[in-house]
Amino acid sequence: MTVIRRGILIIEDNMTDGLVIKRTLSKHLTDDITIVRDGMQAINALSEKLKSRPSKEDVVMPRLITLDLNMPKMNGFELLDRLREHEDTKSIPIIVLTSSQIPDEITRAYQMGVNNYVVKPTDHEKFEQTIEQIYHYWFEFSRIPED
Amino acid sequence: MPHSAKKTLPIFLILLALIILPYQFNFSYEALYTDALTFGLPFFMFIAGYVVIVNYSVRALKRSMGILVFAPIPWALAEVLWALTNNDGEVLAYSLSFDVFYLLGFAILVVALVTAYPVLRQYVKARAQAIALCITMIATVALGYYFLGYRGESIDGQTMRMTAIYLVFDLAVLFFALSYTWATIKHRLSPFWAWLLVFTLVTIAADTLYGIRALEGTYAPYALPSMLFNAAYAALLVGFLSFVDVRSALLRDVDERYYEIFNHSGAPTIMADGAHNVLLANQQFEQMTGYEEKEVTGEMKWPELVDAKDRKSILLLLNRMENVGTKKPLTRELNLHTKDGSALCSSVTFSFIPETDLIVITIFDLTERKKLENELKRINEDLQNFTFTVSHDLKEPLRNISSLATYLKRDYQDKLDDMGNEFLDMLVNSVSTMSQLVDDLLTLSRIGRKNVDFSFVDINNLINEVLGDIQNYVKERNAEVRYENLPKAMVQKTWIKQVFQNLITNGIKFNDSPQPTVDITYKDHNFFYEFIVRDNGIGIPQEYKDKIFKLFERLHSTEEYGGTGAGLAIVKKIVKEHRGDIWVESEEGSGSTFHFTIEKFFIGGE
Repeated sequence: MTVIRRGILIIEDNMTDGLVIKRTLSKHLTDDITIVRDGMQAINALSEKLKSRPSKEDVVMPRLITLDLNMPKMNGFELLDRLREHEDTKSIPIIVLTSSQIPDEITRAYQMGVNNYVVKPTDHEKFEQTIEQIYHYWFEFSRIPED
Repeated sequence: MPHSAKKTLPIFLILLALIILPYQFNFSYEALYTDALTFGLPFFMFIAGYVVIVNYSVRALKRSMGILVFAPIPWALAEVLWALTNNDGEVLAYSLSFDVFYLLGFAILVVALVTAYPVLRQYVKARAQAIALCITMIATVALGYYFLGYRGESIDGQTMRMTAIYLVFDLAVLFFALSYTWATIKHRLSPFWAWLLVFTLVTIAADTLYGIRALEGTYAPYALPSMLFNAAYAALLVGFLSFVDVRSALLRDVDERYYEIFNHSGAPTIMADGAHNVLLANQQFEQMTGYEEKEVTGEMKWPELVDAKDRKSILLLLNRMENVGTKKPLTRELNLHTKDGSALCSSVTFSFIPETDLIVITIFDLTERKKLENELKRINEDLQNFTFTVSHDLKEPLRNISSLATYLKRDYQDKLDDMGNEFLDMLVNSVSTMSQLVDDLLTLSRIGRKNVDFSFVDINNLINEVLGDIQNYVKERNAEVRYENLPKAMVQKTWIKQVFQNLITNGIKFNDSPQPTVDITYKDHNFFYEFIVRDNGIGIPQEYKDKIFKLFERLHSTEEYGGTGAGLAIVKKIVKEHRGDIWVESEEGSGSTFHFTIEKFFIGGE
């Protein structure tokens, strides 16, 4: 079975922030960018992908996930647990994008297999710059699993 | 009965046995033994009395008791003279040569008792005195009747007179002894007075017997009257000894008014001696600890009241102070426990009475205050958390507004007219101002919120870092920041960096000069450093010197000089967190000088 890596999943309960992330990334990427509002929706979106696999051997998974920790229904940590457990989502780089700066949460997130923890800046301009840098870091500077 | 009487009674019984028992065996040195005893008892009475009075008495009592101590001296002398006159075997009932000394002793005793009266007057109730007087008068009448009516006509004038004189003295002593003993029982004072009463009663019996035997011509030395006299001496000797044990009672013999001040003082207070024995405890102390005075005075040592974990350290400290010889009062926060075992958080002050080993211990109950303090701390924390949460949660929608406004401007610029675009610009500016305000609030709420570690920081390096962070701004304003040879200090690095950054940028910002300069110097004080940040800026009018440190307080419009007005409030809060102070000296138009201090050895915590 091979994992076909396509698209980016943004898990973000703040729609405006989701929009900013999507808009900024889509300046550089042609990927299909999906925004979901909470953990439940993320699980649903991913299981949808599992169900609608192109062939028996292949499954399409996002190349990268950005994750907000404080969300309704299923919060970021619960979701992280599920993502890191599942064979098909294990290897997807996960970037936490949140406004929480609590040291314990940062430690916990890394312990649970987060690849990057980024705190959302206060104003829009810096927020945009941060997303730009995330793009440069993850898609130009680093290597992530490819098809 | 005072507890100390229990301890003196056995001594008296032993002495009594020494006096009486040998006569049951008819031994050959009877005369010598009795002579030794009759001399030895008053002699040791004097020694014991002197030692006790000097060491244990308070000043007021020394005046009266001091005289009393000298009574045994003439008695001892009289006994020697008596023994000498008896050596030839002739029995001589009365002889002026030794009677003078006996009487001198009694005279001293009476004078002492009269002198003690002003001190003890407060204790002696009129009723007690009346009863004492009654008993004395009945005894006087009975004895007088007996002796005056003795054998009708054939009276030995000399013996009669002498017996009468002795009895008069005895009765005088009896009156005082009765009155004072009454007070003793009532007020749990010194048992000395009870022993004095025993002494008087025995002496009266002995004198009466002596008189009768002398009149009858049946008097023989080394028999019953002698034994009785010795027993009386023994009682008084024990009486003096009993002073050793009743320091607390003696202390209470001080002028009643002073004792009442102590007893009714609002602060729980005890007095203790060098061996930690509690000598006195006042009513407040009883109320606070639940112990009754009699359970404490003479029965307890004060460290027993201190919680075990505090006990050792305070004793060590007091011990060290004693070794150094300092007599300064010492105040410590100690945990005490009451009789029922509940804890008392209290501030305890130890005051040392000069030239004695006595300590006055005053206790202030802090339990209520501690509770309030904790409550206040909790409310403060809540408030800080609230500020933090609120400002934190405000940030997100603000960012959203600014994002949307930016996109609106970017995507729909062409569709809006000039007015619309200007409004959008104003919207973005307002949001950015508010965002800055919220950031400042957040910073302010973070100071002292998390316990940032203190570290030893070279202030030169720290300012260098600050200048690195703001180098663009400094260059842009053509400013110069001068500093050299600043010390190393124990600080929370991030926050002190913020202090210097705010002060330096303020100095450059509020500055009209073509080349703004900021000078940083310091002064080394004993316990703190004083840093001085001087600029050549626009200065601060006198009336705003305190106002500028208030939150969101601005002297100038945002158009003139930007900023939120939180900078100096943040600086002040950080300095306060370092147990320092901040103030400004300035004249309008000639620059400002900010001074702030940092405690040298403060490393955070309470």
